Amino acid sequence: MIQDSGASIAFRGIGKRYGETVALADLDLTIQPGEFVSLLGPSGSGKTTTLNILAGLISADNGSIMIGDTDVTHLSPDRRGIAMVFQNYALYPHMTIAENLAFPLQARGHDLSKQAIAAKVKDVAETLGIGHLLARYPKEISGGQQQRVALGRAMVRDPKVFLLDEPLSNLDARLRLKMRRDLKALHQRLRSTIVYVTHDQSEAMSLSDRIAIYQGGRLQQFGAPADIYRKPVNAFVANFMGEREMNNLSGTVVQVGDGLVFRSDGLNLALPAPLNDWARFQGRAVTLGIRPQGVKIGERTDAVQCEAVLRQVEHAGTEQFYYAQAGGIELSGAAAADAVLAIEDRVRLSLLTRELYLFDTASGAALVQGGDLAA
Amino acid sequence: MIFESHSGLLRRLLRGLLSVIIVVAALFPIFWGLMTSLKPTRDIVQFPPSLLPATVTFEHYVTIFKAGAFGFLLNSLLVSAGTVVICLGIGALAAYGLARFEFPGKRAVMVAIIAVMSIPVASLLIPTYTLIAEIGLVNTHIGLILVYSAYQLPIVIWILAAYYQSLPIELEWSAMMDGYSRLQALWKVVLPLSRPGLIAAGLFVVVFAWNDFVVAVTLLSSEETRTLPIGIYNFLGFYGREWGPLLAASMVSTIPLLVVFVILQRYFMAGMTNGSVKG
Amino acid sequence: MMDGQRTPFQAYRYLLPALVLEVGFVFAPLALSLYYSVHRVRYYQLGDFNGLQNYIDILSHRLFLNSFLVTCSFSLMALTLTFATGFGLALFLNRDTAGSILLRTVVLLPYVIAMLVGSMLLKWIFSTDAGLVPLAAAWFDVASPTVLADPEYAMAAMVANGIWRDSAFAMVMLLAGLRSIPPNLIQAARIDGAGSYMIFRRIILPLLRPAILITLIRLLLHFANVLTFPLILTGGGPNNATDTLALRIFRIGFEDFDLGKANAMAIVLCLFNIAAVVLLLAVFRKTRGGQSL
Repeated sequence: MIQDSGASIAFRGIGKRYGETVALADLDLTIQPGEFVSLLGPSGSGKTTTLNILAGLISADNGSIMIGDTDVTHLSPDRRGIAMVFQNYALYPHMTIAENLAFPLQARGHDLSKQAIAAKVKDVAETLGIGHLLARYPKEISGGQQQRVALGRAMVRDPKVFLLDEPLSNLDARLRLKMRRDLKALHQRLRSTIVYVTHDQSEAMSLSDRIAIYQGGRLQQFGAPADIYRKPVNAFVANFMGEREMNNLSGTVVQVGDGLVFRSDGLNLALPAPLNDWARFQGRAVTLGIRPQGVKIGERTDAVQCEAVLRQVEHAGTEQFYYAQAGGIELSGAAAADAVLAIEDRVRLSLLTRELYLFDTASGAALVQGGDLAA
Repeated sequence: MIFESHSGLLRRLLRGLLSVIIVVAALFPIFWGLMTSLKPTRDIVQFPPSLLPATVTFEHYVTIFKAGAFGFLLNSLLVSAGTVVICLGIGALAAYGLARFEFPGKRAVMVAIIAVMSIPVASLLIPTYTLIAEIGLVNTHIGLILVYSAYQLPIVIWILAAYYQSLPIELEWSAMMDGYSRLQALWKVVLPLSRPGLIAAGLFVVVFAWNDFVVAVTLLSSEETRTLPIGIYNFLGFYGREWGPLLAASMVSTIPLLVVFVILQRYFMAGMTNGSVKG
Repeated sequence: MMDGQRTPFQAYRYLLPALVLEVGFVFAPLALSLYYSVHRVRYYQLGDFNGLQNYIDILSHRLFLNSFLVTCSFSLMALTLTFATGFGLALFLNRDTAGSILLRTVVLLPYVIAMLVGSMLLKWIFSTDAGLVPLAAAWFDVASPTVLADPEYAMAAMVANGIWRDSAFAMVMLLAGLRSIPPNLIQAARIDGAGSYMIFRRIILPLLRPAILITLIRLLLHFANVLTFPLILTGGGPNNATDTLALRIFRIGFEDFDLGKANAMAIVLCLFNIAAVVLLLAVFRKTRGGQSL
């Protein structure tokens, strides 16, 4: 139903402070037309501030924003050609679903006839499968249906940019997965630009063309989901992406005889020959990171080996997770669902080198990403 | 604030001007009364009037205290305190019954509370006087306190019940599982947590009891029992157009109340809306 | 949140003292009042059964009709202007800057001080002795009116008393209503392209309807029963031009000592109040649970 695709968005040096608190620091971000971009981060990281500034609900202290070829920095929300779906949907409780959907079309500057509005409302409602609810009030329909109405109200104006503020967070887990798919299908059909705020990394991974990940008011990394997952620029991003945190071992790289050793709390890990170029990290405090999926039981080639004792095992359907003690360190790892794991067993663990990350402990900056030296 | 706006200079000027008008309109009568009460008698009616007293005198305050204002002040304090104690004591219990139980007749009780809360005191004066005279409590403080309590209990119950309902019931449950009775749980857990609600309700009662004039003027007749507003009303008959003592007495009534109110005003506003908007 | 209880009447143990007090000092007086109203009473002495004679007497009395009309016109004017002022204040002060919070407190002061004192302060301002009215008249170069001695000015003064004192009440109630509108809805409407006027007409006003109705009814109840304003400010004069129903009842009861007629009139006023309260309850019922229609 929308012919022209979405508009591009460009943030240039956008900043916002509240007193001493920096809500957003010098944001530079360019979103391509038709792209689905997630703004991801914990609460207070600046992602919602970014969205609200883009919507024009709050004004930035400095910097400028372009939507398409228009500088919208000082435009009011209604003149930015955007539509927004709020976390709690913000459906007008005193209007029926039809009236809610019609509301944006009745605003100044549309001058549509009653018939045209009714036709448009019907069209959008059919698209979203809520055509039978038009006469109801928001209180009378389910959460999933309210969510669709909110989407519909955003779609009805044919905006070039959709802003979605955690739209799925009020739904239960199953419904959330279904709406995720519907949303993706909708985007594939509409091809408008979508900016999606979420704190759920799996939601961001599954929906987005690119993810912008925030912490402490700063954009940390902007890239395709797989890139961010494989090549996090720092420890924060590495730990935020993925279902489970990495194993983080702080220590140092030291030369012992011919080889290199990573020395951590009561644990010495001999580094295999392919990692000889880690010699350059000697003498600085570093953190060795590895996701549980990179920690295997048994001897593997191209891996760092150590002895450990199994302490806990969790079944998670398709796989098992275990916690094992190696020296003074606890390592978590993943094993196949049918593996036989007994608590207090002594095992040999392999930390696959292509899954190894190394971070500067002080700054958190990535030194090694998935076995490769960071650029 | 509805939304951020880039407020221009003109806008700010208009806001400022409007604010000044509001402040003057609200405060000028009180300010002017205070200034007049501090002027010597001959300056009060001088034309054109001066905003500030040329010479400050407390003669009118001396006059009214000689005429018994101190006794009225004490009576007002006594009646206000008595009403607060009865209202909060009985109200805290009743509100608990309403907030935590489902019982036959609950709807009727709630409707009655809203009704009594809404019916203006003035329309109850004659009936109340008739009854109080029948049972021989005319011209007694206890009669006045009981009537005040009956009028203020509904709002107290309403405010407190709303407050209790905002507290998690699990706290009481766990106290009761720890071996406390319901009443003990109310006393040791619910009431300490309800302090803002109690302050709001208490403030409401104090403001009513301290300020009431129409009930007191019907029920009290002798000089010994008079509360401050009745004292002032009688001054009005006695001093006629002598504004100095009249306004001095008004200030004696107003100033303590304003001090209490300014300190606790946010509770007061919460109470006002608790009792009416949240059905 | 309710818990299972063995006896459904347990709650009444908590409610009993309050119920006793209410029955004793609100409902019993009304019943007694009804009883008195159908008897001849002179100087507090209960006389013979009188049927509806008291009601017939008061309803047919010239002064009752006058009071009724005075009360109506006062209520209407005071209600309109007080509500409008309060609404304006609520919209103006619906923000949490230090200045607005201070102004809200200031506006509430006339509401908090004793009605008696407030009316007295205004009486002083309007009195010719104070010199303010002649000063203002000289300023605008018109003849100085004696405000409280002129029927129309006296009514205006009483209305001014109402606005001055009770706008704060309307403001607080409407502010609470405004606060209960989720800011998200306003933001959503802005993004949906609505301008300030459309947001006010289509979002704020409909969602504020319950608060508006409750405020109007409670103000109406307050003004229709007003006693202190006329008693202190105007004394009901000049020539009964500000003689409200409540003042008339007060006078019949405590100046003519005719408790029979006074009670009959109180019952009439109460019936009017009960009608208003029933309306109020209907509004409450419809607005329960946040449903705003």
